[in-house]
Amino acid sequence: MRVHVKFLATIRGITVEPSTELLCNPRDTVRTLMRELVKKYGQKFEQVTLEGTNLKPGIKIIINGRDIDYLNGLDTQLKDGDVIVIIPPIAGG
Amino acid sequence: MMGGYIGKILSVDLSSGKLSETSLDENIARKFLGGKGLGLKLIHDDFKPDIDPLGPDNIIVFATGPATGTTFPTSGRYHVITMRSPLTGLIGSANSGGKFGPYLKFAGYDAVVIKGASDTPVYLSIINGKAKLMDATDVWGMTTFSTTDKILEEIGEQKASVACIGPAGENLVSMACIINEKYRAAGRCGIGAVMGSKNLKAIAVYGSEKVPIARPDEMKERTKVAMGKVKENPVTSQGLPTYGTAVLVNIINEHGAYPARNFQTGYFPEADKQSGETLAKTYLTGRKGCWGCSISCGRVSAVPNGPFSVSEGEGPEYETIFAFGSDCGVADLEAIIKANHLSNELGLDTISMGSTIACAMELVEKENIPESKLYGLDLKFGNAGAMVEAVWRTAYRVGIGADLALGSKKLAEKYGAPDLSMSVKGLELPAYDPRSIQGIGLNFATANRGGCHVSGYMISPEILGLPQKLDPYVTKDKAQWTKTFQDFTSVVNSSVVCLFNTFALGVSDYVGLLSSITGRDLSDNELLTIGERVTNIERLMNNQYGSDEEQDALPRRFLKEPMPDGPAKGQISHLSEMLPEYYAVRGWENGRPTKDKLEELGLL
Repeated sequence: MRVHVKFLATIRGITVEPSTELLCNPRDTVRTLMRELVKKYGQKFEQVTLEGTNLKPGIKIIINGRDIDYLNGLDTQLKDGDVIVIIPPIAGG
Repeated sequence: MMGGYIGKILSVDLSSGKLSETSLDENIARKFLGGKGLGLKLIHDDFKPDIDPLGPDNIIVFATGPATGTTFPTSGRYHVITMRSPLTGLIGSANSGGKFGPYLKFAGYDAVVIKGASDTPVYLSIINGKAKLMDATDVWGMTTFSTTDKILEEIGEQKASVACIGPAGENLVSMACIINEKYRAAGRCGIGAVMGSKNLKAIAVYGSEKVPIARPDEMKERTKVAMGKVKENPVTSQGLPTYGTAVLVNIINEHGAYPARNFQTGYFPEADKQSGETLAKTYLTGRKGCWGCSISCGRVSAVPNGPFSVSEGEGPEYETIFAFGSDCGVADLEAIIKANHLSNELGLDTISMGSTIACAMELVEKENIPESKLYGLDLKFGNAGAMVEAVWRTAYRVGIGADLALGSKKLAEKYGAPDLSMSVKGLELPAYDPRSIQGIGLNFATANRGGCHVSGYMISPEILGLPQKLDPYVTKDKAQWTKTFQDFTSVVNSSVVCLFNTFALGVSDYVGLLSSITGRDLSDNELLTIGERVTNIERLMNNQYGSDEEQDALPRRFLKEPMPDGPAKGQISHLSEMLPEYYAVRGWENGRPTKDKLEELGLL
């Protein structure tokens, strides 16, 4: 299955591309997705988004508009067609 | 007199041309702090609920607070209050950055109260404690840019601050605003039109008065700690400086709350084309900060070529991008930058202007506005050229512009479709769809000045997770949070400093800094009570205008039309679940403060 991942603000500064599509397996979770993204974008991406096995404080991940805090956190299972957005701590106005 | 205050208020009677000075009453400063609180109290003492907003009986107060122009982080702001907004018919309230706030204090006054109306165009000059009314015939008709340049030349002080109106204010357009330093706007509620009705073109301020600080060594230490927090916080040290408020475009869109086509939906597929990320890569030429600000969230942009080419200027902000962009169905960032630049020159609130154009576009789409009324202006969603042209026509009341100048509420009523105005209490809604984010919907419905996001910025907890994350889809606890945010914002607007420092600083930080400035020690609760008092005195006057529970409402769209698509598909606003609890925590009944609440706050 395919998922679409978007990167916002300072995260985009690291990935350069604003988004990417990844092939996933049916049992894949946000956690496994993050591992794939680290493989693709490297150490800088890992440093900015992860702290050990957890998300770095302030980093938000939403799936189809819903913060994973209200789903199953990093263990949220992915579905075909999911849109995942990774958001650094940002702003207001 | 406590520290932080100059201790003087300038009163200007434009009808007689008389200027006079009064001392700032220390009791008022204790109860209402300054800024918004001071402005509301001064107006409350002269309040008459039956005046014409564009008549000589209306009053405008430009006010600073004890923190303005000190080392309190981001203290370069001022607040404006008018007794009656021509757009809403209620208390008008607006806030701006730049350097006007500090410079008014350095010029020798905490506040300026403007009454009456001049027979001929004038501007007010306050230089080193000397205030004078000057002939403005030469600058009447000029844009805010030319006005500023000419007045600075005339007063012989290039470093002065000028707050002025453009043609929109002169032409009494309901959404006309006050512009200072050419690109900063005391935007909302049409206070620019009130100035226009008084023939008051501008106020120029400059001086070297020192703001007294009660405990300067302590203030130095506290400033260091506060600045450290601002520099550590990722919002104020990275997000805002790098991308400006425009960083919100993609964030809000991906939550399905970025309003498109007059709030018909909350997802705009082309949002990234007008995002902060895209702006940074394309038309951004620099950053700008207000007086005393280390965040520098201001954008500087230019469009070198093409039909929307425009010279360098500040902006666009997130709200402006939504208003001229997605809300009008327009993807083109160049057109947005152009419309923003025009709005600054002509003196128009970008939120109300863009939203009124969007309303007109839907009225055209649904055939409420006949083609004959458009005088050839092809006002369709997505037509960037028509959107930009509509801004001109509104400022000069040309063709359909004369109707747009009424604001979206009266526009939609005129054309028989009042439900198509996306406004609350007549003030157009900002860039968050309340179906997708419950708490901001409650704030929109209850904010005193009308459809306003900054009055109680619930986006902070519900989307940004500051100070803690709340679920945007639920209504639980939103009432108490909204009240707290609204009252703390009243404190911010009475201190007067920039709301954006509150991403890094909390109530205790404010208490510490304000006590070093004023010499007055307050608890967190006591400071929030001042905020609550400010919110309630504003509400009291609005109640006298007949505004209460019935006006604490949202457009029908958000209550009855589920979000049609995007990430928040199917959601609606559950305002009716939150409003009773909000009134309960506020101590209000039917949108009116109870006698007990007023006694508790010392407002009876």
